[in-house]
Amino acid sequence: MPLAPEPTCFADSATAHVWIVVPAYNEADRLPATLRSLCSRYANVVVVDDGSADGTADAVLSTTAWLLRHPFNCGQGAALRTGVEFALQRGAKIIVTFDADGQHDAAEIPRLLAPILEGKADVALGSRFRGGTVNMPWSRRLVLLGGVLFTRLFSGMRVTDTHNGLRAFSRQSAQAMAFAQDGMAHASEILDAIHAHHLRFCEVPVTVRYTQESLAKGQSSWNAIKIVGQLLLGRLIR
Amino acid sequence: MNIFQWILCPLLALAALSELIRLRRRWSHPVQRLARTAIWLAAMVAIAEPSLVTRFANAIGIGRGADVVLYAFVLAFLAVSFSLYSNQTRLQRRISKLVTHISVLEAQRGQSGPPLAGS
Repeated sequence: MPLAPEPTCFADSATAHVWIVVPAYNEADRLPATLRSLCSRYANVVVVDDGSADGTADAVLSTTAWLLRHPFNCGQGAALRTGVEFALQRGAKIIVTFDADGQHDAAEIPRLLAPILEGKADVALGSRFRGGTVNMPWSRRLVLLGGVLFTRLFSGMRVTDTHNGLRAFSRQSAQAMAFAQDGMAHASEILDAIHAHHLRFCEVPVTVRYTQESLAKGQSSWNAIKIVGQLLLGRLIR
Repeated sequence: MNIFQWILCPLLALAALSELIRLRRRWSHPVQRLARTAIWLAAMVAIAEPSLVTRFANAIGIGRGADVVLYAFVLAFLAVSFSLYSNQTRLQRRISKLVTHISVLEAQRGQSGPPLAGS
């Protein structure tokens, strides 16, 4: 059944320089719906196809979004770096990162933009634990809470959700991000960069929806151990 | 000395000498080169005079010379593994930066895209 058209609001001057960066890997099935909701609201949407083997690129080219293609899979951190660099080159004033798999709601983006547009924060981090979750397995909740504890111990950052892909950065804060980690450890690296550069941040309640498909394709809970290893070893390598 | 010692000791001495000559020709990575020289010389001494390793083991409370060699190999394995992992990670980061650069240069806009805002 075709989806109803989304309201168009990208004529708004406040969002004209907002860029939405969507890293995608083999998301041909779920990306069209995600892009429909994003492209109807924002003029500048960039999808980084991280070496997909399915029709992800075609799905992007049938919309108004920009497509950047990695020739092979480099990891979500690398895809975000590519998208953020492109957005900065195009003059983005605010950059929002958004997952391709439909877990996030485009209607919540204005809540993330508000503290940055008002000059109250440099980075707005989406938090599912301040907002809500739909169908989140208990094992995922435990792993995410472990991530929060780990971050509080090692980075000293008092956040409630460390690995939420829905975030907004001011131009200056996006420029300060190093994105050295190619894999999933980039999320902790972003928090480290916020701490190291004394950036002002706030957490914004958002809702994350889990589906059978997103859970099947998403990160295994055991990958958390690998991420911690990558993060700790990565800090030793310059 | 047995035949094994006659073959290996000169080879290890040559390896140590080669490191020193290269260091003298070009003063680069002195710590690594001196460390490798020390390893070749230590191996040469251990092969030429095994009782020295046993005495060293006794002195540090390990007991057997063979155990000292085993522990040294374990430590060397860990150091080499980390070194290889570091090099691989650095290489991967360089490749990723290259991928980013190429991807940005080859950006495409969806066919129905409106004129670009902010460009």
